[in-house]
Amino acid sequence: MATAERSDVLLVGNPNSGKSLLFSRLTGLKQKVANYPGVTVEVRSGSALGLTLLDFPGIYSLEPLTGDERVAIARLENALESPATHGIVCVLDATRLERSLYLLLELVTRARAAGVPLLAAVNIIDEVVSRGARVDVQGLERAVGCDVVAVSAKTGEGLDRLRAVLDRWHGRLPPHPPAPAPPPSTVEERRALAARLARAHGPSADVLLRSQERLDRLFLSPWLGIPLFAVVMTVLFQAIFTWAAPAMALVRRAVEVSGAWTSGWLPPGVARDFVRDGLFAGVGSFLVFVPQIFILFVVIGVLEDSGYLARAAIILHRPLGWFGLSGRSFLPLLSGHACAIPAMMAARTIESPRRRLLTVLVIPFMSCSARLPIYALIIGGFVPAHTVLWGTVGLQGLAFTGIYAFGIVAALLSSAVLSRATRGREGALADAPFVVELPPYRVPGVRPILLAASSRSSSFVRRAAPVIFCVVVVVWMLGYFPKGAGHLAESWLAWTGRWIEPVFRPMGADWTSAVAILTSFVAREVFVGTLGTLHGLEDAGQHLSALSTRLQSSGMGLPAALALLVFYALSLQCASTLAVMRKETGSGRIPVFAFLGMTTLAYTGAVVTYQVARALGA
Amino acid sequence: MTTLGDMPPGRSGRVHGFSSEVRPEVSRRLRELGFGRGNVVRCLRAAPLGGPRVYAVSGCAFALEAELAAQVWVSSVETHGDG
Repeated sequence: MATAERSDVLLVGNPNSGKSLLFSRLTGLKQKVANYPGVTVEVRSGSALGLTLLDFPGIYSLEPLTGDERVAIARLENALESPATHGIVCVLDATRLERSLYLLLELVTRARAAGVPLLAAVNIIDEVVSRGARVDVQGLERAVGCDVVAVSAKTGEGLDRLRAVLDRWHGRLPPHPPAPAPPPSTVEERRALAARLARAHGPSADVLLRSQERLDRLFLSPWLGIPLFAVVMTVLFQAIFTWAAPAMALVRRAVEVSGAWTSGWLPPGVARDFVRDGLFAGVGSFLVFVPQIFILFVVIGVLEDSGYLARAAIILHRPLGWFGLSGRSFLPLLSGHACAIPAMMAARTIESPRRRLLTVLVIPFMSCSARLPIYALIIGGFVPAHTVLWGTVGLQGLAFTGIYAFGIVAALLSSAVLSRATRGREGALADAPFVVELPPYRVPGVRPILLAASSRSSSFVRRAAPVIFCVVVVVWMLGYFPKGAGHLAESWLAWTGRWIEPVFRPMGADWTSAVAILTSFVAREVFVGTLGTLHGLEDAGQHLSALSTRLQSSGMGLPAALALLVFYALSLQCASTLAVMRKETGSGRIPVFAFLGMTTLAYTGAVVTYQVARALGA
Repeated sequence: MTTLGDMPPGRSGRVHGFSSEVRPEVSRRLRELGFGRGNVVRCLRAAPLGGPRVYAVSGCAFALEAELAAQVWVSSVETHGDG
């Protein structure tokens, strides 16, 4: 049979079966990254051995329960029917064979009906072997009637055998092995067969559960569970601010050096002024924060891969319930600290439609990485870089924790208000219930986490950079003309800024901040770029220095700085968030409501902060 | 006969069925995960802050929220040791 059009291989498996890691192993860097950073909610594709691997979101069975499963399974059903489909790789978790076999048995029936070859990859075999147990691959092959390969995506063991099977498919479709027995057709029959097969051919499950129990005794302990959660969150935020500092300084230096070097080559004139003051000061001041965004993705990756995320969801289920949310809202809300867009998509995993809508509505309150540059700029400029507690905790890190906590509190209170204001609670039974699997604790691999974090952050930069560049060009032109460099106060921009200044005066913003706020309604990350360009213009001719130092010398006081922080913490300034919110909720009114509500809240909050801080003499 | 929700940590129970308030899709998923009639479920622990309880069934651990656990009928089973 021709192979040209049959080139898709579907990668299917349970959640936490190491499927995404296997996908990365097989495709290497030749993969199209999910549209947005965050957990797998999209079908990723990558090439290996001349085939296209499609990585489907993790599922427990082919019968959907939640919205995200419905999407995933509908896509999978389509792919099964598609003439482009070349084969299916079902990823099994060797440490939880019974549960994995259930899905495999369902797939066997479908694959036979569709005439598509099926391969079962028994993943995480290294953990089974290290405990002195084994999986009887030949026995499973005979019993299930499909190719079975034991692999470890972590160590790379068995991947050659897996590739060999894919390669065999490549030449011609192998005939189906004879069916050992009529396949089970009900949930109970399938479950019973899975249990029998797991007992006959797999390792003893209890050994593995017992080792995860030891750690759960600690992390889910009634006394230590909460303090440990607090420690994990504190380390997360310290990592983002304090530990990222050296990397950020390095990038800042690189931007300065390359800016000076490039503008040295250009003849004096408009082009040189633009490159130095517009391009390097504007776009460069955003690039400085990329290391921080990268570290955030590393931390989220560690939480996901270590297995702690599920524990956090369970710990938080009850408290989040008080605000109308679910334990599963934790991951979307946490991802919201990186970017609201993947966070809203991750909210698809929330079992109940009502809790999901509330989560989507309040995600924009989370301090996303686009706000990070703004916070870092203001905190870096106005909070002293002292350390407390024997030099381990920085004051700036504490300020960061504070502003993040402020966003979280705003989200929870808004959710509670909206939950009470809309119809009364429907209860878990009318809605989809909260059922969460506790995966084993694992030491996360350094390489996969770094790979994922770098692809996530580069996709973020690729998405943000063009917008920032365009805004920077416009801002620079408005600020440069008609009089040229060094005459910012007489530029078109100054004229516009002074015209809108009265609106922002009550929150203490001068005209430069007013212009920056206005431009950042397209996307917040533009704020720093705009200010960088504005101050780059003002100091034209001098060499680049830290923007935060300039802000201090521009006469901005602590009350105005605090007001700006509050404004950015509460406002929804992101065109893409609104677009995705519309798509995810299927309603045009919801994003409008969210935008108006949050902007009003942000403005009011900023004005109150400024006035109160000034009255207190800060 | 009691419910899964009444079963304290450390105790095991054999599943007898679900109350009629459980929607068919939900009951199907629970059966797929191993909470089917006749299976033995052990309550491992209760999450802090009165959160969901964690149950072990055929080598996997799942957290079920209290409202749902209260709809699963079980009969008590004597467990030998901690395993």
